[in-house]
Amino acid sequence: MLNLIYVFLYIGLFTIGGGLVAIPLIQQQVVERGWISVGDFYGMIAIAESTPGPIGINIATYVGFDQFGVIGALLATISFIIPSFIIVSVLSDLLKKHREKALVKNWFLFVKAAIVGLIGYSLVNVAEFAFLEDKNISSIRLQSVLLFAALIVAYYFLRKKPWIVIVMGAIFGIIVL
Amino acid sequence: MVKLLDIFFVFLKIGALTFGGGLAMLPIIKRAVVGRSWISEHEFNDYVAVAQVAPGMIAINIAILVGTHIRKRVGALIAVLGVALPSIIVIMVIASMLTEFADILVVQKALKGIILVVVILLSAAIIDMGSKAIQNIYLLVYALACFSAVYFFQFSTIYIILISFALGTLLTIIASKVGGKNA
Repeated sequence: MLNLIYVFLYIGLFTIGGGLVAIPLIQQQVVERGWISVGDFYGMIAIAESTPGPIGINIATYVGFDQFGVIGALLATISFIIPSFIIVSVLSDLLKKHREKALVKNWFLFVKAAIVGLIGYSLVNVAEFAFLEDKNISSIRLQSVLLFAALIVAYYFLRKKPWIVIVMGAIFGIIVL
Repeated sequence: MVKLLDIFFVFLKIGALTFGGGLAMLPIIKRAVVGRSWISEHEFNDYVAVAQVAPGMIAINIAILVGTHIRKRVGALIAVLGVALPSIIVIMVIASMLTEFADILVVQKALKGIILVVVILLSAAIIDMGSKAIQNIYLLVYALACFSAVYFFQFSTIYIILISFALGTLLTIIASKVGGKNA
């Protein structure tokens, strides 16, 4: 249980750019420690994205609950948040004072570009899991591709209400996959 | 003075009803707190910048910053509690059901369908953030390099962030030495 606290304190400290960046970080920590299988992990991502609330909180609660029940869920979530609490207030005063300085602007420039790359990594990982049976491109599931194309069209029209597209994904997943 | 209970319920409602994570929450939190004149729009925008580069989740960071702004430490605690509580409850309920249902074929198929939507949502997040963050070809190359380092060479994402700060510092030093323009 101490490991669980340590892992989420660590993730909370090094997640820069929001919960989506935490996905590969949590995966590296949790799957490689053998706590959760890769398949179960992506199931968690699907649930975390399709329930309301911050995605990072959803994943932390899920992993903690999976390991140690209610206590684990609370410990993982609180550990995830604690570094924010300590750092954000200090950083807030500093950044507000110095945000026009060249150094801070250049930090933002590179960190924000890096965040886009890191979310890209999450995207490719999730997409591989979504479309392929194994890591080989020839194992691509045709039904998944077709459903994906249909869901893109649905998303285009329902951008403001993504939960409807999520419900559609679930229903059509049951029917065609 | 704003009542703690009001802060709690405003953030509780946002936590319970907003899908799509922190980025999707920002405009909704903004409407709620700026609309109630708890904070000025200018100050809120400053906090958004801080929330994005500070460690942790964006939704939690913004809750801490806005909560502190309204009612100091206690306000921050109450705001975070409000925004996180619905998630914690909903996920625990789902997780406790799924440990029994995860092996059922229908559930697996539904999750496989949802994960396709997750691919779309992540793509939308990248387009949204990328269109603002990637201002020139060098930053595009850098974003692709970060992706490649993690994907092909199993680089830890932590190094990527640390390297980004180092590069930002380096660029500042070079720019000040040259005595002129920034990239």
